[in-house]
Amino acid sequence: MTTTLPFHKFQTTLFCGFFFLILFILLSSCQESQKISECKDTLGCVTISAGAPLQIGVLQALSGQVAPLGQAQLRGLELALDKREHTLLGHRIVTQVEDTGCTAEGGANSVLKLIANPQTVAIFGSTCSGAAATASKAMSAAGLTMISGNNSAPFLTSIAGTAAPNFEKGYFRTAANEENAGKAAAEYVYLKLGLKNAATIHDNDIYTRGLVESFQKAFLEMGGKIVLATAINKGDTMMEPVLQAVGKSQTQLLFFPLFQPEGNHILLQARKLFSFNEILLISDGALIEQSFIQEVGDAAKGMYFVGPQRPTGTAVMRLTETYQKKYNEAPSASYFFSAFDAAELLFHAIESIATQGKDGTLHIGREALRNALYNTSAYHGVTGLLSCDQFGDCGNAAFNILRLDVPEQGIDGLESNIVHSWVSK
Amino acid sequence: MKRLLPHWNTLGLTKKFSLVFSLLFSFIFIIAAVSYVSFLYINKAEKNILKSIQIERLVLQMNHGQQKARQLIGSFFLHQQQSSLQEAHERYAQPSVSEIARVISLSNELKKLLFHKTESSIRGITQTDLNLYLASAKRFADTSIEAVELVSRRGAPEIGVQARLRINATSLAKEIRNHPSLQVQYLNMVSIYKDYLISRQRPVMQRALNMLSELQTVITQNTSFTANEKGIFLKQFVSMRNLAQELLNIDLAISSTINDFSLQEQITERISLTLIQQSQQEVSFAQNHIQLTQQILGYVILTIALLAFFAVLSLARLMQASVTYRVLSLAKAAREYSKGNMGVRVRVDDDDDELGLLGTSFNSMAGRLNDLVITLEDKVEKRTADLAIREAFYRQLFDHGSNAIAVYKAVNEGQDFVFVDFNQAGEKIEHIQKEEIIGRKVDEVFPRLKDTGLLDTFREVWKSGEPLSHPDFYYEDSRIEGWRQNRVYKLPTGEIVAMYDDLTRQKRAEQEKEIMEQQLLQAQKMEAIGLLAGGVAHDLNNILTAVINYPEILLLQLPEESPLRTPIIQIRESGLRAAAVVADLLTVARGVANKMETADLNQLIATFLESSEFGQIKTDHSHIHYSADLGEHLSNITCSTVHVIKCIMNLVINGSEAIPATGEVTIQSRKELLNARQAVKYCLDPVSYIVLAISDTGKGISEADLDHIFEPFYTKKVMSKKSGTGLGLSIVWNTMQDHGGGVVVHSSKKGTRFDLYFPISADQHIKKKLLPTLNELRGSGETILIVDDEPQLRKIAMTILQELGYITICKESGEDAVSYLQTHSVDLLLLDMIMDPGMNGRKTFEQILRIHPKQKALLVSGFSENAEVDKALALGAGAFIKKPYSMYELGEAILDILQKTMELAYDNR
Repeated sequence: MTTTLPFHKFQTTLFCGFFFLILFILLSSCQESQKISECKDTLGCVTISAGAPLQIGVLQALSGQVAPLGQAQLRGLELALDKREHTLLGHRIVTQVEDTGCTAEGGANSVLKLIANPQTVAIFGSTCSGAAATASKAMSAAGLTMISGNNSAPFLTSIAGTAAPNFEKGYFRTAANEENAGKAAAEYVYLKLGLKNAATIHDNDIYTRGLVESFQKAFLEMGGKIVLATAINKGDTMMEPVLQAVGKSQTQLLFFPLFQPEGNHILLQARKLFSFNEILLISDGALIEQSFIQEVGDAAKGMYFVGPQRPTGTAVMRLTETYQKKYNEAPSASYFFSAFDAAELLFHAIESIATQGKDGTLHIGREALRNALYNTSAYHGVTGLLSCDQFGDCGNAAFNILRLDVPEQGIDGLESNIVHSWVSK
Repeated sequence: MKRLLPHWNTLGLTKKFSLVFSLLFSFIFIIAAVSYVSFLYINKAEKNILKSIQIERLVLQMNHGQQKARQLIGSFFLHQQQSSLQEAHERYAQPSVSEIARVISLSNELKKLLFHKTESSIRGITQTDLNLYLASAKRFADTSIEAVELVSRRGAPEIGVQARLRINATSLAKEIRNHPSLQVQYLNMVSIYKDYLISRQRPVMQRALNMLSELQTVITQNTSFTANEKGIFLKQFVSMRNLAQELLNIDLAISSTINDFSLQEQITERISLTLIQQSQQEVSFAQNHIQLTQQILGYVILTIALLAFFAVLSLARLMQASVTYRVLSLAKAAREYSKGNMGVRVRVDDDDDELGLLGTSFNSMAGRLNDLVITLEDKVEKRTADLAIREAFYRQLFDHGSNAIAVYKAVNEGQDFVFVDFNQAGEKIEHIQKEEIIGRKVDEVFPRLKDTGLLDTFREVWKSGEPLSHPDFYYEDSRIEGWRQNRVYKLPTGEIVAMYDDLTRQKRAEQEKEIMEQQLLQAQKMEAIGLLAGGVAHDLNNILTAVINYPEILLLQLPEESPLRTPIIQIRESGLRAAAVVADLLTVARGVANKMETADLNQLIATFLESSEFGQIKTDHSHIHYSADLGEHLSNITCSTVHVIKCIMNLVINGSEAIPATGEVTIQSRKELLNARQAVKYCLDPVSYIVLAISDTGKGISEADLDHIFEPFYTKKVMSKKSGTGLGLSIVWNTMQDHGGGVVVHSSKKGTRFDLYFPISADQHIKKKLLPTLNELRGSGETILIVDDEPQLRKIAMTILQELGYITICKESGEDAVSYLQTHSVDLLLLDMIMDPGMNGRKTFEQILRIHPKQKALLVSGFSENAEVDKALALGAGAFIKKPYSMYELGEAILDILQKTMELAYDNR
């Protein structure tokens, strides 16, 4: 007969306690390492726990007179979110909206706020290409993906089939590369209107500078002469000196693809100058906006605009109806379509590459997301079939030359008054 | 509780203890766990406090740094226009960059603090804000550096855009200085340009450029300028326009940078403010957390401690009732039992645990032991009695054994030994009481013991444990002496036991036996020599009797004036000397019965000192000093005075001859009482002796020679005329033997001393003897029968006796004499002791006594066995005279016997 001593019993209890403690620690460690091992993306993953929101960063110009453009982009995003009931893969989509002020520095500072958040899956924006240039640089370095429905500056993606100076990996846009918008305008004024001398004004923003340069290039190639290539600064209000220079340059037209309010100041102050009586004024899509028409009114009569073709079709109509229903007003610009497509394209890409654990945890590979977007082909967007090239251009390059004849008809009147259409050959 | 008690009682002791200790352990574990968890909480809170304070400090430092950097950058923008760019650069731009570098360093430190191991857990601060705040430092640095570069590009002396524009403008001014109208336009343009430098408004610059264009138009259209000059102007205008455009771009970039600074400040200011606030709140929260944790911990521990206290009390009571009390009962019973209360028993209820079993077993064991003890006690009592008997037996053996037994305890690591026990035999042998030596060291009791080697044997036995027999040894100190034989062994208890015997008697007996053997050998040797010498002496004495006596007879007959007297006297003297030699031989042979008389030793010494022989010795050894040291009031001795004097002379001669050059010979006398030891050693009795000591300062006698010096004819001296016959010391030795004394020789290289021990005489009266005249010796006609086998000696005797007036009858043998006396009677027999053939003197006398029982005789012998002489004297012979005798000696002896016979006859009447 044997008896167990109490001390042995105590030892057994102690041993069992230690055993379970060590087992618990080991299991905890395994669990931790399992989490880490699930992400094999070279740029890392965004891991979203079950029930946690999926965060999308938004960079738009929401202040100043360019704010309507940014607002249109936001609404396009909201419409896309509404379509998905603000939910993606079972996670609520939340947005972190930052105002760029439509400046490069604004873009640089705003994007910092977004990339500082490790849960930011992607960035929707921006409005202005200048802000996009600085933002995409920081975004790309942080391994994020950024898609815009409004940036059209050629510098952001490609120029003449090669990477543009500000090309950044992970940057996409559904707005058309307006490398050919300047060309379309140049062909129209030179070939259709027979104008040989031209003056240009940009505002040092890469968008306006890109348009001006593509215009100058095409115009010069056709035999035209750029009698004055000058610029203003954003924020300038006194346009008389530059307009006097234009007036004395013996130009037949002034190509000034500016944003509001600089575009407004140019137009209104030019109309006051005698020398501009015979100078044709042509601007870009940034001013194809209801607020511009309303502010300049009749001063814009006879003024030409070069901008992307307005999408058409039932999807456009439904989205337009949805827009009007949601916001109780007509769209001030058509750029919300491309914004909607940009958002949809992004959400679709996320859905295609995200992996979801049994516990509902979502893993989104950053490199995978970029690749999904680069691989987008013939995606049926509102603005048409979208296919992204290696430089991030996903939109269709088709432009119209519009002329505002009846300001009272507003944006619809302007966009419907197409005097020339340009499609890439 | 009551329900549980029966179950509790059925549990084993092990399970009871297990349950109790498990419960106590649980309490301890809970307290430890609560304390540990609290410790973790408090530790975490303290870490949070520390971390929050550090965060706050770093954020404040970063803010301060960024603010300072911005101020410096602002000052740089401001002062680079007012003073030189270089100065502004050194005073503001460079410090700004340094400050920004410090801010970046702080930013990294903050980053490590916030994201080390785990991400920041500061409430109210999103991860985004933290990242943004940390990134802002780097961005601020980039922007600042860009701004400084732009300003440098713009305002650098000589190479800056503004400088180059100024140079161009100056150059243009020179070219048109002779054209006042152009100068006006130029000055207006410069004025507008200066406005631009102040306002940095692009339209202003545009206006200046417009004026430049107008100036260019005027110059182009001016015919006063040559085509070449116009070309130069055109280049200047193009250059100025390009520089202006570059300046506009730089200013635009600077404007953007400034705007950037503003935006950055807006971002970081909010976050830093929140960070500081949240850090402070975190500190406060953590402090509250610690306080709360401490309170909760206190309550929990207090509660558990109270529970544990009551639980311990209950368990203690339970254990006391179920274990301790019963163990104490068992202990008490065991204690009682150990005291001898064999009837004690433990109360055993229905407990099934080990203590219950132990109690039952105890009772059973106690019962069995009780039975066993009773039996055992009888056995023990018997055994104890046996042991007591055996103890007494061995004690008796120890105490009453014939061997001495000493028990020692080793001290000083076996170097010394202390008496532990000592038996009665030992007390008797060593003449000491046990109580006197117990506890004392053995060498204190027997101080000379170390000289015997016995202590070394003790040490060896103590060390090895092997018993040893120590060789017989003689021990002597001031208290005791004797021979010992030791057997030493070691007891299992470590004591040393020496068992020994007193061999003194045995050894002394052996010594005595040896001496006696030596004496016997000596006696036999002497006897053999004596026989030889005796035979010769007998014949010589017979011859010498004639040689001595005839001259005497002749001298009686010759007149005084006769010339023949001298030769006859010479013959007589020679005969006497020859007789002396024979006498020596007889002395050595001890075959002659000497005449003993009471004498004073000192007187004998004096006689020797006055003798002519001593005078001759002194003459022969003039270089030696002779002295005498004589004791006073010495007792007389019984001795042969002739032999004693002869001994003195021989020893003095030997001493003198032992001194090669100068020296001293001393004659001493003393009285000495020998002790037992000395007596044994000297083979004498332990009584007083008169000692004659003759010592010299010679070279001494070797050990080898000492054993032989008393042998006849043994001499180491070179034969010379001084030498004696080789009988000197033999005579001494034989003389002392004849006197019942002894000779002791002490010799060393410094000299030799002979001590002659003479027994004290019982008769202290010394007879004065006067040499009688012939007339006094004359008889009265008595008849004397001369019996001698030598005709010559019969004739001499007849002649002498007749000359002295006696009637003589001669017979040549004993048989003839007996036959004659069958029919005759005579007054006296002159009876030779040795006659050959026929009966000797004794036998003859015996025969004659049968005829004439009162017959007296004068026994005569040249050499006679003392035993025969003594027997004859005992038969009543009367006297003895040795050959060769002189007329006087014969006459005196005969006259003495006849007078005694007459006195006896008279008395018988």
